[in-house]
Amino acid sequence: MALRDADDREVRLGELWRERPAALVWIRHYG
Amino acid sequence: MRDRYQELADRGANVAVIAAGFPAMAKDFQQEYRLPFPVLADTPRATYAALGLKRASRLGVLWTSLRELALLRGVRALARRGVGPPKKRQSLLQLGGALVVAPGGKVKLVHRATEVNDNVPVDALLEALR
Repeated sequence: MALRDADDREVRLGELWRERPAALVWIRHYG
Repeated sequence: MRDRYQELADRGANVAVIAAGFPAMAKDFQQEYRLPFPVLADTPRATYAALGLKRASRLGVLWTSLRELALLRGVRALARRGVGPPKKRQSLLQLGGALVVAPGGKVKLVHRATEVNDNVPVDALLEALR
């Protein structure tokens, strides 16, 4: 699955834990 | 989480926050709160669905807001910032969650909020990163 970062670049979720552990938090809204 | 980011980073973790909305909203949020980790935008909320993150009931959100005086804080915040249009692609009903994944893809922790203030404690993230 791919998301977009704050600079609108694609980030594939799987890349976040490919070589290091990943701690991901889903928030309700930006506020 | 911002204030304890270094503890998570010291355990070698990539840390990120994910929210529904657009990348520009993620950028504003990251800058406003000076977050040292990425904020990722999930515009269609696909990852929310994939993780099984539910939506709260309207009554649940209202009750929690009143209980925690968030409504009063919200009114104060509106008074400070002014009233603007609601941010697109956001829903106050969407509940959050968390995931800790080891290298290679083994899931070490899954947290699915059951109510609006059911946030994963940072200590739980740290424990899962051991």
